[in-house]
Amino acid sequence: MQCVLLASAEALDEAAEHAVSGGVTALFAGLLLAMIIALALEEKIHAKKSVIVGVFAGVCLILATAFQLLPLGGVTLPNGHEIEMPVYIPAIDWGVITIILGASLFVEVTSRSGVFTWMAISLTKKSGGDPWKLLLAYGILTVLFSAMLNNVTAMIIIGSLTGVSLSKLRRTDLLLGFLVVEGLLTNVGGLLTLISSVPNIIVGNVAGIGFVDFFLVAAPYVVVATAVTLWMGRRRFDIRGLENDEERSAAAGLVAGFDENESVTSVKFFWFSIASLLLFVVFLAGQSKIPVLQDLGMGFVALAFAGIVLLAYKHEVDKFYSAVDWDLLAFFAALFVVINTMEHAQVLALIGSGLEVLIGAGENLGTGLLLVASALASSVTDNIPLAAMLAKILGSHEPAYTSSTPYWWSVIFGANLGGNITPIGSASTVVAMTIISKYKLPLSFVGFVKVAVPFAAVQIVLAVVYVVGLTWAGFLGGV
Amino acid sequence: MRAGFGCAERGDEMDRLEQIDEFESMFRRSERESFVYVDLGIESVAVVTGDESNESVPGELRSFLPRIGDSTRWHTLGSGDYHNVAELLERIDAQQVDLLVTRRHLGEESLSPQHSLGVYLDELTQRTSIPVLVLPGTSRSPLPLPSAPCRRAMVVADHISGDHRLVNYGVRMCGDGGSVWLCHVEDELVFGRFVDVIERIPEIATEPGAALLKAQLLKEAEDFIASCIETLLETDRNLSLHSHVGMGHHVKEYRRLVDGHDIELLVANTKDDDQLAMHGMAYSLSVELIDVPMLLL
Repeated sequence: MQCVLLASAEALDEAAEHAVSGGVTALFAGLLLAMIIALALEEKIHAKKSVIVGVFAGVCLILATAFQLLPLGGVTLPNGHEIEMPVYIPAIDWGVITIILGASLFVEVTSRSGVFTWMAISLTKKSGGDPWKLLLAYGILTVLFSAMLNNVTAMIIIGSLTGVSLSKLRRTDLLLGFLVVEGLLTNVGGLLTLISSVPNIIVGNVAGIGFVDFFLVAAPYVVVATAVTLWMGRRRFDIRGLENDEERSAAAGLVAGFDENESVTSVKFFWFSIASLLLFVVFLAGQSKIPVLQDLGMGFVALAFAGIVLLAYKHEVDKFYSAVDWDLLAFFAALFVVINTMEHAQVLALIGSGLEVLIGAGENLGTGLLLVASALASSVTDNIPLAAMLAKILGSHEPAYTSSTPYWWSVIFGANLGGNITPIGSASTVVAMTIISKYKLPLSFVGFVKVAVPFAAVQIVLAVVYVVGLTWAGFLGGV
Repeated sequence: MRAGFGCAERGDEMDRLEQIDEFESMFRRSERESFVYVDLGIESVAVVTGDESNESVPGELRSFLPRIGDSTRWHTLGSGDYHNVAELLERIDAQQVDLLVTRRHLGEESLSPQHSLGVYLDELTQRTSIPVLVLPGTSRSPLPLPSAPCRRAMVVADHISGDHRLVNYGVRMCGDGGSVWLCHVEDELVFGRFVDVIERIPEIATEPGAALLKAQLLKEAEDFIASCIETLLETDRNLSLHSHVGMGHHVKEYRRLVDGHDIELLVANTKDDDQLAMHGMAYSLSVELIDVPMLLL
C-alpha cells in the first residue's frame, strides 16, 4: 500500500513537471468521457465493465506512452531498492483490490452457512406477517445486509424473500412498494461502513478515514435516513399494519410456516460463521490500532479472514474462487490504470479546476454543492469511476486535505445516494427493477424516477444538512 | 436502458434472474405447511342403496365407526326414492347430510361392470362436497363391513402436503386407541418420465437433478406428515400415528400397504381442481381395492 502511494506520489510530482499540451489533455478528456458513456450503456453495447474499461486502459496506456506522459522505468521501494515493474502495475490501488477480494470471498463462504437467510426468515416470522412490521424488518435487514455484504446481494436476498412472503400472505398488492423501498435502502445501507460499498473503500482509502471513524460519522445518518425512507414508503405505498386479532392470527399462521433452519446445513459452521463475522468487524475496527495489522492494512485483514473461513471448505475452495466477481476486480484494476493516465495527461487537474469552482463557494456551500453534483453524476453513470476520480483529485489537492475534510464525505454520500435517482443509478436498483419486472408489476423507467425522486431528494437534502451540520459543529473540518 | 425495461442485454438479466430464482427457491423450500387439526362434525348420515336392503347398514356402521356417535341422524334412500342422479342429489341436498354411505355400481347391478365405480358413485363424489363412504364389494355382490370398530385407517395420497381435510377425516374415522397411517406415494412412472426429460437436457446434470427432484418431492410430504403427527399428538385423540412416504406404483404399493398393515379403512381425495372427473389415483384405487371400505372426499 505504501509502495503504491509512494509510486503515485512520485508519479504525481513527475506529472506536474510534464508540460502537457491542451490538445493532448482534450484527447484524454474525450477518452474519459467516452468511457463513462460506454459504462452507462454497458448492457446496450453488450460488454462487461472489465472489457469496456480494459479497452480504454489499453488505449490510454498506448497513447500516454506515445506522448511520453508516463514515468517509465524502475519503481523505488520504501527500503530504497529499485525494481523493474510495468508502469501500469503501480498505477493500481492494490489496497482497494485486496479489500474487495478478501471481503467478497469471506462473505461468499459465510453466507454458505445460511446465516443471512436465517436472519431474514427469523425476522419474517417475528413480524407476524403484519405488512408494516414486515416493511420495517425488511428495510432494516436491507440496510444491514447492504452494509455487511454488498447492495446487490442484499437486494437479491431481501427482494426474493419479499416476493415469496407477500405471495404467501396474499398481499402481492404491496410488492411494488416493498421492492422500491428496499431498492432505495440498499444505497443507504451502503453508507454504513468503510467496506459497505466500493466508493467508500476508494475514497476512505485515499482520505485515510479509519473503519471506526467512518462508522461513527455515517451511522447516525444511516439510522435517520432509513427511518425517514421507511416512513415515506409507508405513506407513499399505503402500507399499514393489520387491524384486528383475526387478521393478525391468520397472518401469523401463514408466516409461522417458514422454517429458518432449512438453509442451515451445519449448526457448527453456522455459529463459526457468526463468530467469524463478529471477529471480522472487530479486526477491521481495530486494524489501525493493532500492531502488525496496522502495517499490513485492511486488505490483509480481509484476505486473512477469507483464508480462515475457506479452511472450512478446504477441499472445494475452487467453487468460491469461481464465485468471486472477477469482472468487478478487473474493472477496478483497469479503472485505476485509466485514472492514472488521466492524471498524467492533466485531465484530473482540469476537472479539479472545475471542482475548485464548487469548493470555492465556501466550506458549507461547497460541501453541499459537491455532494449534490456527485449525486447527480452518479445517478446516470457508474459511481465507481466517479468516486475514484474525485478521490484522486481531492487526494492531490495542495495543501492536502485531512481525513476529516467534509469534501470526502460529500463524494461518499453523493456517490452512494445518487444511485437512488434513477433505476440505472446503482446495480441494486437494477436488481429491484428486475424483480419488479419478474412479477409483472407496472413500473416503467420514468415511473421509477417519479416514485424515487422524492425519496432520493429527501435523502440527499438530509445528507447535505448532516455533513454541513457536522462541519458547522466542528466534527468535520480541515479545509 | 438496462434490465427490466425491454431493451436489456439478455445475458446479464438472465444472470440476475438466476440469482433471484435461486434465493426464491431457497425461501420457498423453507416454507412448511403446518397441519391444522379440526374435529369434524358428523351429525347426519345418508345411506344410499339400490334394490338391496339397507336396513342393517346403520347398525353395522355404528359398530364399525363408533366415533360417528349415537346422536347422529340417519337417512336411508333406496331405489324407490330416486330415479336418476339429479333426483338423488336433490334429495341429499334437502337432507343436508355430513356423510354419504353407498356402494359401487349403484343401480347398475344388471350391467355387472368391473372397471368402473358406476355412474351414481362417480357423480356423488364429484358433484357434492360431502364425503362418501364406499362400502366393500358392489351393489350386486356386497361384502360385509368388519364387525369390530375400525382401528386401522390409512390416509392415501399422491400429494398429501397441505391436504388438511384428508388427514382430519382419516383421524376422525379411526376409533380411539387405533392407528392411522399417513401415506404419500409418488408415482414412479411419472417420475421416470421426468427423469427421461432431464436426461435430454444438457444444462441439467441427470443424476443430481433427478436426485434433487426426488428428494424435494418426498421432503414436502414428509414435512407435512411430520407436522400432522406433531399437531395430532397435542390433541386429546388417543391414536398411534405412522408415516409412509416413498416412490412406487400407486395401486400395487397401496395394495401392499393395506395387506401388510391389515388396513380396515382407506381415506382418499377424489377431487381434482383441474378436471371434473375423479382424481386418477383415487379412481384406480376405488376400482381395484374393492374389499376395503373407502372414504372418498
